[in-house]
Amino acid sequence: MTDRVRTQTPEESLPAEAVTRLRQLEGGDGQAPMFTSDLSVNEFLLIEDCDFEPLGLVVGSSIYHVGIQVVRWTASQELDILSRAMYHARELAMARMEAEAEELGADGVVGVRLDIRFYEWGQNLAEFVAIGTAVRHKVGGSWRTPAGKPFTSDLSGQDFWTLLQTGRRPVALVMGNCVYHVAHRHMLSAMGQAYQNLELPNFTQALYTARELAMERMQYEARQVGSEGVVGVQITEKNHIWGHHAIEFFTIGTAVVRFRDGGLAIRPGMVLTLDD
Amino acid sequence: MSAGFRSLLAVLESGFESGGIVMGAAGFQLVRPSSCMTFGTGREPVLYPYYEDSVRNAWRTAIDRLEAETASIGAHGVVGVSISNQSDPSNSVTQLSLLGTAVRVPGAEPLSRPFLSMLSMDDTLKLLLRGWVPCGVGVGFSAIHVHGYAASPMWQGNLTTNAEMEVLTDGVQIARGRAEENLRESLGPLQAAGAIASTLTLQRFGQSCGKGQGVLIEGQMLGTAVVQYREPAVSVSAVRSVTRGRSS
Repeated sequence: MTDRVRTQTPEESLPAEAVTRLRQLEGGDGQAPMFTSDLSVNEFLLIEDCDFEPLGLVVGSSIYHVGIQVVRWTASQELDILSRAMYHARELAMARMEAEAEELGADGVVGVRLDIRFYEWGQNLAEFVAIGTAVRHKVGGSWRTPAGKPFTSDLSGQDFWTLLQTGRRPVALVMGNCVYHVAHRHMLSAMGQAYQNLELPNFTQALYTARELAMERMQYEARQVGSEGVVGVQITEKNHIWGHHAIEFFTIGTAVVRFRDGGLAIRPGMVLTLDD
Repeated sequence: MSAGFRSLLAVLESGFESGGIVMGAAGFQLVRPSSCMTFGTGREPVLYPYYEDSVRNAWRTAIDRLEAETASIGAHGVVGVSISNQSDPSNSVTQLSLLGTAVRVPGAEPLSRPFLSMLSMDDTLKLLLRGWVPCGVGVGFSAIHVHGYAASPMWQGNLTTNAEMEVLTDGVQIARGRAEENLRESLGPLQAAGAIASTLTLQRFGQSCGKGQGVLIEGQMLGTAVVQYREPAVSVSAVRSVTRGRSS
């Protein structure tokens, strides 16, 4: 492994090349500071309007070998080796993205996207990438998490702006997952049910159980950061490369806290658009 | 109201007039390295500076030609630059073309170098009203090889267990970092404050490596540089659309 600058734990540390690049973004080596960002124009202008400035595109990634799990053909159960792998790899990618934001002196990261890709050339290899734009408040103030780290949020620039108007701010991106094996039916049972419309309880039960476990884990993370609630929750259900009988439920959202008393600072108005 | 018509209104609203469609194109033979040319057992990723320079040169040529065509018709800049990048792996030919709408401010002196922007005229108008102006298109490119030894769970001793593939992870980070660094270098002469609406593309290909198969990682980053030139002329006001459901 290439040299790493150990800013946090060994797993969250940054490659030396990344630290050099981030220092250049800040304006090191006699160069003027220059940010990079995947924010749209609307997002860029709205973030600027809330007195935040973009500092740079921050990325964390992890290429992970997902281990082998043995499971009984007829048992519905969580595949804990796969659940752990899918969670740990995402956590590594997130932690590295946060470490880059920390290196830039950011107060937080907005517009975070978390992607997974499985490779054709590498059996059981998956790449997890977290990408977002590091931002810093021009005036200062306490925008960081209770642990002193930059906040993370998957809210768009528009949603971030709107959230701040309501007197709340993001604390952390929270997530939960569960990879679940759906039991196969016995052959005789399947043959007996042929040509009938009927519910398959094992599939229904698996969906409920997996979803509940994923939601519970996300809510646990939200409680750990002292949040008031989670907004923008997205729930995805995917088989990835495992076939129809193994599904991953993944939930992700932005935990928020109130930083200012008072109700909505914005009032809905009516605008009739000429576009449609 | 069509997007094209709205863009035309934005051109007129901002004081620009349209100067027609302009293009910068370049066809290059870019030979992607077929092998790492080593015995393929190290853990350090391999860089391909010559290949990286060749790809960057192709992009630079297309951008320079777009600027030259824009200047030749007396325009001050190009908005809505769209990019087409077509490659034929059978003969290593890459065709790059950049198309956009030239705009000019009537009566204004020509610029020493016209500005380029991948943003639509709508977006450009929003930036102008808030005191920002696009000033150029930047491109960054990188290519990294990770040896088959380091990319193989078997050789790394974790064939059946959960484990991070550390060298592959580092390879991706290095590819991404070099692409971004190169993007900033390409924007350096413009003295931009930053680049917005950037896209980062990371591609991975299987690549010959000793007797096994390694991985070639290519990173490409594109963005529009912006610079602040005055205080905002208008304040932001919020409108919540009720014509659509929740945004995705």
